[in-house]
Formats: sequence, structure tokens, C-alpha cells
Amino acid sequence: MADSAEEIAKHKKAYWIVGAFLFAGTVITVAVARLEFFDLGAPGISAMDVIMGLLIATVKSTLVALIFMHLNHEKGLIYKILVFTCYFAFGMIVLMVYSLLDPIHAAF
Amino acid sequence: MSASTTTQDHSENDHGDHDHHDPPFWKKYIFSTDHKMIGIQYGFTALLFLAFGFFLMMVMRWSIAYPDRAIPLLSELPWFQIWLDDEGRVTGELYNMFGAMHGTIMVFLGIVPLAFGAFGNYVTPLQIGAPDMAFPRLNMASYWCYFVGGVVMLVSFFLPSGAAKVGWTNYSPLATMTDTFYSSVFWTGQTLWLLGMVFLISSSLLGAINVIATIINLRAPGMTWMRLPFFVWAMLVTGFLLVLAFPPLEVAAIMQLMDRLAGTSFYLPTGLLENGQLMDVSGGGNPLLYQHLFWFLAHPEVYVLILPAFAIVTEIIPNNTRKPLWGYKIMVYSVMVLGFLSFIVWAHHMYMTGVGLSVSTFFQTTTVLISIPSVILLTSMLISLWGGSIRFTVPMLFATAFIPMFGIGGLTGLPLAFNLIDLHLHDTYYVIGHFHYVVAPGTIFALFAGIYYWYPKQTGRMMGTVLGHLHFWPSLILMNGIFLPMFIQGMAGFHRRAFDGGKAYEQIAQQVYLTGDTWIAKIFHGGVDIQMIDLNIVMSASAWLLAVAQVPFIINFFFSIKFGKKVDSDNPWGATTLEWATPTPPPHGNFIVEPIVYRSAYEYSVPGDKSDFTPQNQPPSEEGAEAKEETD
Amino acid sequence: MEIPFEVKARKDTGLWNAKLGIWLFLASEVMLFGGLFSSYIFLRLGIEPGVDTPWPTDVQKVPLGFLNTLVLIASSVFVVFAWLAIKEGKWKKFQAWMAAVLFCAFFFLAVKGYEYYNKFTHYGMVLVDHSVVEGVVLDNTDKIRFEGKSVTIDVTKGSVEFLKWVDKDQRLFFDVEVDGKLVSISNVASWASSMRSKVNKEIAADRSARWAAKRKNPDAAPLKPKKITRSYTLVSKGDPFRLSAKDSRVSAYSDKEMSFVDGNKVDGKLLGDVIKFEVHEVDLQMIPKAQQDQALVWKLINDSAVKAGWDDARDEELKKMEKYYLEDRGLPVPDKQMRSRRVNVHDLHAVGKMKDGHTGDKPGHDAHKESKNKGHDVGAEVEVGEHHQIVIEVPREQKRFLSNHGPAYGTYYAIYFTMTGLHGLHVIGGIVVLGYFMFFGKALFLKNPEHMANRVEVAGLFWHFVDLVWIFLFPIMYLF
Repeated sequence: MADSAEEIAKHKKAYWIVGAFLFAGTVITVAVARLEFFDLGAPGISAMDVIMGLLIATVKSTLVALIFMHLNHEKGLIYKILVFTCYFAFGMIVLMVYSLLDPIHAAF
Repeated sequence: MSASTTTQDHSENDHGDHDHHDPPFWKKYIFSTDHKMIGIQYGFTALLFLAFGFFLMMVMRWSIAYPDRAIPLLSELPWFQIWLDDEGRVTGELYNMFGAMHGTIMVFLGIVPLAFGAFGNYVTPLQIGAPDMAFPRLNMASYWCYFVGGVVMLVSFFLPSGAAKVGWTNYSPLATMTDTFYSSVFWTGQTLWLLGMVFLISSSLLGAINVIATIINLRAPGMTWMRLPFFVWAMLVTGFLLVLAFPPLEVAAIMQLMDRLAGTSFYLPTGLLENGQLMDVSGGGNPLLYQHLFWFLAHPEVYVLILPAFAIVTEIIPNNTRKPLWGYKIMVYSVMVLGFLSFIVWAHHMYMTGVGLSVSTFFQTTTVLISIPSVILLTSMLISLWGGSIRFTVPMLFATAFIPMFGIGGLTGLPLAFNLIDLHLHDTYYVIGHFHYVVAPGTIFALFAGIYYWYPKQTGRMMGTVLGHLHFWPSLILMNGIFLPMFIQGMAGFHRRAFDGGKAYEQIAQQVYLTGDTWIAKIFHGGVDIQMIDLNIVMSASAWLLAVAQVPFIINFFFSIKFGKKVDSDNPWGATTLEWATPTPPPHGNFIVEPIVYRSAYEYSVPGDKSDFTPQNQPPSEEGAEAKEETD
Repeated sequence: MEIPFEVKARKDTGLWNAKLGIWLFLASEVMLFGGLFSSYIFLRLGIEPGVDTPWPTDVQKVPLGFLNTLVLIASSVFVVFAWLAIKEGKWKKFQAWMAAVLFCAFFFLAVKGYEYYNKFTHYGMVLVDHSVVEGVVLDNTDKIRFEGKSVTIDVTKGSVEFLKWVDKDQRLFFDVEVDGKLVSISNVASWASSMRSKVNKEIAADRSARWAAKRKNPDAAPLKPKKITRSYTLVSKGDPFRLSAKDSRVSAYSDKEMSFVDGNKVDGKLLGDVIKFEVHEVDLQMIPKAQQDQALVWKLINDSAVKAGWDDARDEELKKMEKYYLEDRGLPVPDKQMRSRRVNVHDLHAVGKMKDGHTGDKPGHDAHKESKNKGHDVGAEVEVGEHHQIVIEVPREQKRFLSNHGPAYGTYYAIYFTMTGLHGLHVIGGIVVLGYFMFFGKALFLKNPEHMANRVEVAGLFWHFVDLVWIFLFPIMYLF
């Protein structure tokens, strides 16, 4: 984390650029979902659209986290906490979905 | 209780002048931001809730042992009679209500606040050499959130609907549909349970964030990670479990609240019938969603219950064996692995819901894996006893009892990890016995040990030894009297939710347990054989006697404040950790001089040292130690 | 006593306390929203085809969500600049940026409120054969109307459900016979609760007496329980009172009486239970294609022009699907795609009858104007106000489920309202904190600018997180 005000001021331009990227990302997400040109899988909403949309959302949120929330030069401890958290959140989502769509669904 | 004379004494008078301006009463005792006062507040409130939860259980045990007799005392109270049947017997509804609230109160209002709230708050900052918690006002907010949550839970008992009554797990759709016929669905126990939980969860979150931040950022100079007492490590892991596991339950509670109040169908499948009529909801939800979210919390919650117990016991054992904790490092890694694994075992509570085979295989595997770190922890404690000349002080009695009791609880859990066996044992008394061995003679014994152990820190007086023994031995025997027969009954197929103790199921109830015309058989029903159902009486009687066995503790606790034996130093147990380097009781801000840590936490009987313990803040060289004494 | 590292960072961890704290809090927030997201996935993937209603993907107004996303992103940028300003020690500049942030936040909430309002005023009804009509309920007919003369209450429960559904403008006066005396009541709720304790006391006293007698003389025949009146009938003193009750709170009703879930029984006469519904859209995706001609909804609408228009629209869509799957790719058309999605019959109808020149400004008109007609542009643009309304009257037994598009309407709506509602609460929380800094932060700023900058940074981190959640909420709630 930059400490002096002068150092931070250098980042000003970067913040505006990231803001512009986020705007652009939002436009692309809508385009992917709504324009037929982007309908990669099937007409209307398809799995491909969803994957694309979520990928863009992930990129956007990564930008927010890295630049706006200064994770790009944060201390290692914070990373550790967040990695754990993401591991557990991810585990929760994956295991719940896995149990819903279990390939071997025994008939008890 | 040999108090060492080599510690630097700070008698109380020496720093009476430290508190120049005494804060007003309400600020000092009620809305205090001092971590010690908040810890004590937590402790008292939690002990009261533990007693209340115990009372609920005694009523339930009456219903189980004597389903056809009027309940004594309570049946005389007019306002209580609406919950009894016309003969004054406990009704199924009351049993369900008390059963659900017994679980809720014991887990969320009793043990977690006592273990994590009280000991975590009181001891953690002292042990790491911090002046207070990182966020003192947040700490106060967390206590008051807990208090409000507790009050909400208590209020629900006095509503026309009574308190929540579908089990402490509050499974939907039953929980969604129960008591919705009252004109105000909000003012029913079932809804207030959810509301209370939202408060309790918020409280735990704030408390856990505070503890973690304190441990990470407020350690005294020289207190490196591997010099932390194991207590602090366990609290750190517990804090992470709370921070990461509780939010999903908050989600589950909010969604159930929506189901009850806003008519949503998060947990209600399509075509659900209620009294033979199609429910007026959209449907499309899934009851399993609730179970997933609930157990995602509730399994780590089990470790939230047990880790503080480990923490307390690991402090007491080295202190009383006068030798270092065996395998400190491996214990630290084990507790981290334990925390890590505890998040991916939850569906072993859901084998009965018909989760698929590959899912149950996965969870079966992780469940068996998690026993490894638990066993490492327990074994390390056991080995720590080996070769020591043990002082059997009262805290040590409880701590040593903890080891086999938790061992029984843990080992009986192994069969439950397996899908096939669990299908037979699910929801029987076997599960109850297993779980209660972990938390009742396990965690609660550790908590008692902690109270006996740290009592002189706050009061400057020891708790009585004789009363302590009078408390310990009956408790140990009676705890086993309650929970050991549960394994037998459970394997015979007794279901935990039968309010008549299984009487209605003759085939199960009348299985012969002991044959022959023994004296014990005469006591029970004058018959020749002892049947499975007679064990109910053994367990219930043990439970009621256990209540009596707590009387010495209560007497001891209050009388020792005034009349206990005065400690002759700040470090009466001759312990190495930093909390004993503070004055007695620790003033606001804890330490007179900021402590500097020179060594690891369990340096007992170091060869060549003149005393059998070396406090963490004692400088390494002899000259240094003497120099420090002089400055003090 | 000072807590160390409140302002300055600790050397070995490199963190000051509040920063560590906020990241831990955000970690718990990740789990909170993680739980909600996994619920979303669980509910959506758990839909059983043919049993549950399919997940709706076209019920939101994308432009509004799009706008809100941009507004939140902008506010996120502004918060960074507010923090930069305070780092540079410029209080006025900080306030200006913060004002921009708060403006964005309020704008966001206003748009959100507008969206919520539209949902709550739009209705959908599932008929018994699973055909779905969407539109507006007319004249409050979603409730059962009843005219009551008297009501019977079981006072041991003390619950007075019927009171909730009595039309608001009426004053109630009842007569009831208690212990042979006629009593007048104006406040039923308090009367019921006082009677509850009275009767329960009587019952308890009777019990105690019987038990005492039994204890005294165990061999004697047990005393019979005293007869205690538990149900009281309250007769309206004045005119009969009108009720309009929600179905889910009524357990049974007939022409003469209506019972509520808590056992309240109202005697009188039924005023009406037919639902008047203005149809905007017809949705037959739960009905197999072969049976769509016989769908109940056509019998109710009873207008061949509407049905023909709807059929055309569906066939056109099917043709599109067949071209996409069969002709272009040689794949069979999935069954899901064979069924028509929702079609806006309001517009169809308008095209058919535009010549009539009927103009009207009827209820539900606005709701239609905002309702979406997406992907199924059947008719040309229709001038609003130049169409007939299709109003159907549905006997209650033909209704399976009726609700406004609030959380109760389906699992999508439920999770939408829960997630955006919780997100909205976070926005409000952010507004409170940031607003506090903006208006009351100066004292601390003058005393210890670094401390103030830390606080702004921490609040900013929270605000970015709120933005981050929305970045995911927007696509999953509005687009897909």
C-alpha cells in the first residue's frame, strides 16, 4: 500500500482506466447476453452465454479487488485469509452442486 | 497448589494507584469495553443459560423415564399446565419444544459463549501480552448482540405458540409450516428462533473477527507464532471457523425467515401438501438446501465447541505435570488441518436424505480423515502426562477426565462416519450418546477446569479443593451414568425423538438387557429381567443427580470470592504463560510494563534452571532476570 | 490505555488493526454471499423439468440493471478519489467526492425501489392445468370477499386471524355472552387475550382441584372435568362487517361461513370468490405442445383472435428453433424449446383489434407499458392506449397459485429479492458510514488525519465489496 500522498497521486490515471474497463465490461456482458452475434451455443440464453458472462464478471471483480481494494500490493497475511475464504466458499458451492447432481444416485 | 516464590510479585496495593479515575458503575460493569469484564459477562450469562438448558433436559428426562406419570413440581404451576396433558404429564409438544431449545441453548447460548466468548475474551489478550482486544467497542457490541439473541430466545417460551419445537436443527419444511396458523406468524417461537439466531450469529462473527485480529496484530514483542501458547492457536482456528462457517447459517436463517414471513418457497418443493391440501406457495424449492447450509455451519460448529476445550486442557496439563507439552508443533499443525477439513465433512449428517453414492463416499472419506488430527491432538495430551509427576489439583482432575471422555466420544463417532452403519444408527440414542460424550463430559469438563484454573487470576483467591472434589467425582460418575447406556439403547434402535422414551415401540422397549432375578431388576420394575427401557430410569436418575452434583460448584464459586484461600503470588499455579505475569486481578490495560517474550510457552522443568518453570517473559540469562526483578 | 497499532501498521504483519478487521469481515461477507450464490445455483439447477416452473430469464428490465451497475461502478471510482483526497489532506475535495458517492448510492436505491414497486404491482396466476397468465388483479379480487355477521373464537389460543382481513374503514362492535351476561366489545384483540388468560386459569384451577381430590382419595372415582366454555361467538352489533381474506389464511369457506387457519369461524354470506384478472401475457411452457390448444386459459379468455395470435407467435418461434437446430445443425429440437415461452397477448390483441379505436386508461395499463416484450416481436409497435383489455374471470377452484411478483411468486423471485435486498441493506449501511465521515469526520481529520484516512480506506474497502457483489448479481439476476 502506497503510503505517501504523492505516490498515490500517480495512480490516479490508473483508477480512471480501470473504471473505464469496468464500464466496458458491463457493456460486453449485456452484449453477450442479448445480441445474437454473441450467441455461441444456442439462441437465447445458453450455457456459453452464462460462462462468458461470469468470466467477464470475474475479470471485473478481480480488477476491483486488485486495483480499487489495493490487493495488488497488500500484505501476505490478507492473501492467506482470502485464499482460505475462497477455498471454503468454492468448496461449499462445488460440493452442494455435486451432491445435487450426483452421477451415482442410489435408489434407497 | 504450590505457589512459586520466584515470580515477580505485584501485590494488589502496589498498583492501586493505576486506576486514577474510576469509571462509573454502568461503564465498568455493564457497558464495559474491558475484555476481562466482557469475558466475565459472557461467562455469567452463559452459565445461566447452561443451567437453563440443563433444566429443560431434566423435564425431558422425566417424560422419557416416566411417560405415564405427572411431572412433579411443574404440574403444580398453573401457567405451565397449558403444556401438560390433563393428567399433568409431559406432552409430545412440550418435549419437542424443550428438546429443540435444549440443543439451541446449550450449543449457541451456553457452550460457545462460555468457551469462545468468556475464555477467548478473558484469556487470549492476556496470554499474548496485549492490553485489550483489538476492537474493544466491537467486543462490547458482540456481547450485547449475544444478550439480545438470548433474550429473544427466552421470550419465545412465553408466547402462545411456545418456543421453537422442531429440533435444534430446525429442518424445513416442518420448521416452515409449524405454528403458521397463529394470526401473527412473526410472534411465534419458530420465527423468533430464526431472529434470535441472526443476533447470535452476528455476535459470534463480531467476536471472532475481534479475537483473530487481536491474535494477529496485538502480540507482545517477541511473541512469535511458534511461541504462542496452544490455547491461542486453538482460539485462532476457532475464530476462523466461526467467521467462515456462520454466514451460511445466517443465509439459511434469513431464507427460512422469508419462507415463514414472506411466503417464499426456498425450502418447499412443488406440490407440497399440508393437512391433505395443496399449500398455497409457488413451490420449486428444495429442503436439502437448508440442510446443506445448516450443516455447513453445524459441523465446524462441533469443532468450535471442542477446540476451546482442547485449548484449556492443553494449558492445564503441562502446568500440572510440570513438563512441556508434548508435540507442540504437531499439535499446531493438527489443529490447522482440523479446521481446514472440518469444512468439507458436513454431508455426513445427511446420509439419510439419500445423497448419492459418490457424494457419500467423498464425505465418508473426509470424515475418516478428520479423525487423524483429532487423534493426534488427543494422543499428544496423553503423552504429555507420561513421565510427569502429576499434581492432581482440581483443574487437573477435570482436565485428565476430559481425555478419556472425549476419547469415548470421538471413537464412537467413527462408526457414524460410515454411510451404511449410519443408516442404522441415525437419529438413535447412539448419536446422542456420541455427541454428548464430546460436549458434556468433554467440553463442559474442560470449561469447569478452566474456571477452576483461571479463577484465582480474577479474584485473587483459590476455589476450594474439597468442594472441588465433591463436584468432580459425582459429576464424572453421573455423566457416564447418563451417556453410557445411550450407546446400548441406540444400538437397540431407540429413537431420540420418542417423547415416551420408546415405550410405544414394544419390540424395542422390551428387549431384555440383563436376564435373571437380580436385586437390580427388583429395583427397576420388580420383574425378573431388566429391559432396554429400564435404562431410561438409570439415565434420568443420573441426570437429576448430576444437577445436585453441581451444587458444590455453585457454592464453591460464590463463597470463594470472599472466603477462598488467598493466593500468595500473581502466579499461584507456577505457570509459564503471560496471563500470570499480570497483577491480580489484571487492571484495565492488563500489564504494568509491556511484556517482552523470550521463550516458548511451555518451558517447565528446564534442566539447569533453578525453578521448575520458566515464564515466557523471563529474559534468557540469569543476569537479565535479576536485572528485571530489580526494575520491578 | 491505548490499543497499539490503531493507526500505524504493525511491522511484522504490515497491518493496522482496522484493516485486518475489515478484511476478516469481508471474508465473512464472502461466505455470506457465497452461501446465497450457492443457494441460487442449487435452486436453479435443482429445477425438475415438467414439475417445477422453469427459471425465468426475461423478467427484468435490463436497462435499469445496466444503469445501476454503471452507477455503482462510478461510485466505486469516486470512493477511491475521496480517499486520495483525504490522503492528500484536502477536506473539501474529500467532501465533494464523497457527495458524488452518496449521490450514486441514493440513485441506485431509487432505481432499485422503482424496480421493486413494479414487481409488487404485477401479478401472475397459475391455473390448475399449469397454464400461467400474468397481468393485474382487478378490484382486489385476489382475496375472498365475505360479509360476516358473527365470529366464533377459540379463546384458549387467543388468536384473532379474522381481524387482519376486516376492511380497514369499518368500526367493529360486538356483543358476546360471557357467563350468561351480554358484554359489548370494541377491541377484539385485547378481549381475546384477556379471555385467554382467564379461561386458561379456570382450566388450571379445575385441574388442580381434580388432582387434589385424587391425591386425597386415590380409590374414589375421579372427578369429571368441569365444563369450561372455550369458544365464544361474537355477534356484530351494527352492520355486517366485510372481510377480504388471503387464500392461504383461510382454511375453508362456503356460502355461509368462512374458517381461518387459527380456527376463527365467521358466519355470514360469501360476497364473491371469482378472481377478475386482466391478462397481459400467457405462458404455456408447463404444458406439452399437443395439449396447449386445450389449455384452460383459452376457455377463460374465450377469444379466438387472441388464441390465433398467440399460436402464430409460438409457431414463428418454433420455426426459428427448427431452422436453428434441424436445418442448420441437424440436431433434434430440444423439448424445452418446442414449448412456447411467455407471449404478450396484450400486444397481440391490440394488433388484432386496433381498428376499434378503443381508448382507455384502465388499471394495469401502466404495468403493461413497463412489462417486457422481449424476443417475441410479433406485432408492430403498438400505440399504448389503443387496445382492449382482456379481462378473465377465474373461479377460485381453477386457480392453483396467485401472487404478485414479489418474493412468493417463485424461487427466482425469492432469491432475487433476498439477494438484492441484502445487497441493498449493505448499500444503506455504506451510506450511513460514508455519510457520517462526510458530515462529522472533520474533527478527527483535524486531530489525526492519518486515522481519518484509515477509516475512509476501510469504509472504501467495504464499498468496493458491495460493488463487487453487484457485478455478479447483475448478470445472474438480469441477464441469464
